[in-house]
Amino acid sequence: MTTRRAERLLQTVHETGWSASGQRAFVDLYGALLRRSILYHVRRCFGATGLQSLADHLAALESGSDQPRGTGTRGEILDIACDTWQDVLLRACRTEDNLVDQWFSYANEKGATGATVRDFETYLKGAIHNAFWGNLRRRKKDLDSMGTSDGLEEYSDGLSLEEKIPVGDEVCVLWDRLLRCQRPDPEGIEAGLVRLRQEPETVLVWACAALKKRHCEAGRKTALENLMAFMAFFCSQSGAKLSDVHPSGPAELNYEHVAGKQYRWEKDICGWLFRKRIRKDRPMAEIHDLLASSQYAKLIDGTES
Amino acid sequence: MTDRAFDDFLERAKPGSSRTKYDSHPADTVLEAFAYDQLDGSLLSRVSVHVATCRRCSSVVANLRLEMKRLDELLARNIDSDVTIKRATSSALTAPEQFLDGLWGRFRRWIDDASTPSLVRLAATAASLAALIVVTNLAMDRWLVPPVSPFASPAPASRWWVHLYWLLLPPALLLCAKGLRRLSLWWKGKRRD
Repeated sequence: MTTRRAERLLQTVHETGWSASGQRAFVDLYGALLRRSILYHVRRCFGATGLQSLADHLAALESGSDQPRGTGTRGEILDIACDTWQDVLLRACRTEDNLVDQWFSYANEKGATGATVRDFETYLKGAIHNAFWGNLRRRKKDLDSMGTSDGLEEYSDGLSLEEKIPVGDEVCVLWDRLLRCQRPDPEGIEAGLVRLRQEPETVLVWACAALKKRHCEAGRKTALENLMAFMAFFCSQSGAKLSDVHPSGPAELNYEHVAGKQYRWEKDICGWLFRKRIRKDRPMAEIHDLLASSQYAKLIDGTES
Repeated sequence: MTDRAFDDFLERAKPGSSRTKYDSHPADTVLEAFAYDQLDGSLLSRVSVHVATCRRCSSVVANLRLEMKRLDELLARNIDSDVTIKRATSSALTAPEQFLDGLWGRFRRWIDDASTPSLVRLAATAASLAALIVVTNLAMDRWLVPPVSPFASPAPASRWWVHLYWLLLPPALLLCAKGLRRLSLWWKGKRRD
């Protein structure tokens, strides 16, 4: 998810090039994603034992009691991780034709054809993937003895199972997309879901998607934030609390992080999540007005459910 | 339509996902990709909702995240981003420039850190501005008073730099407003509890 700070940074880099502070901001913003992606690929390639080896090696290096870096299989895993980190950062922070410029070119190209444009994070993950497997293949001769495979086939199989991943209620998937700064198409929701199940559950998610689309198109950031706050509050009031992870800010909102948390409006939503005073009645009034002027007004009366 | 009717509507609109019992689960590879933030788009949302409503998968993902967090901290301490960044830039900085750049970078990182409360960030910014103005005034007083030229007017020197203190007024007012708002939120929360 691209935050406003990230958007500003990418735009500045694209227009004026890199500065020292910009490069540090990039590492602050995307360093964690870069490390997580490297660790993920290590896990996919070397398994949980390889990951544990890497952890042991890093811990030993910190205490200064292990063999020098680069020797043995453990050293090679660390080498691949470090080389991937360097390759991706070098590609991202070079002065000309860097990753940010490449992403803007890609976005413009895709945008012109009307195709879906993947965000910068996804583009970066692709670059990390390519760098990791490139570094791995360079050392493939030594690693063949470990019997490793690149694991891509298995992952692709997993991705093709998208429709088969069971969810209790399709409405929750839409709530998750709304919370994640995605914009599900309200017309699509109406045609695909509300027509089949004309219930308060489906109608409310349609109304929120329509309002979100309206606010995004009009550039009303405050109204959009108010709506996000209401959706986070609403989703926190349902479901079971299975995860202990809390979102640290609006950019980390998703259904898993808020479901069943029973957030209180002023203390939780305004106090630490959005860190501003938000009037709950405003987004509620917007939703009410939208529904009252739609063909689903009767659902609010409770005369038909 | 009344407010009560709308409240009832919202109550009925809550998704009933907590009652779900699953016969099948996503593949382990997909859960791994999810825990390590590698999924995107609609697949991400489906897996996220499944994990949010499935006790088994939620536990698997929690363990994977715990492992990832521990390794991420280890890796972060051992990978030097500064060295890589310097390789990527052709411009070489002098030692004082590097020192100031490093100092400024650390300050910016701390200010930008999401875990730093906004009130503290604002107070730190205001304090930095105040320190800068005080130092500027001291330096100007030392260098420019009394007037450097003996031919200057005998009238009292106008120390225009003293007026820099007015710059402190907006952040001070903002700080007060933020403090009052925080106090108000805290008080409302307490009253509700």
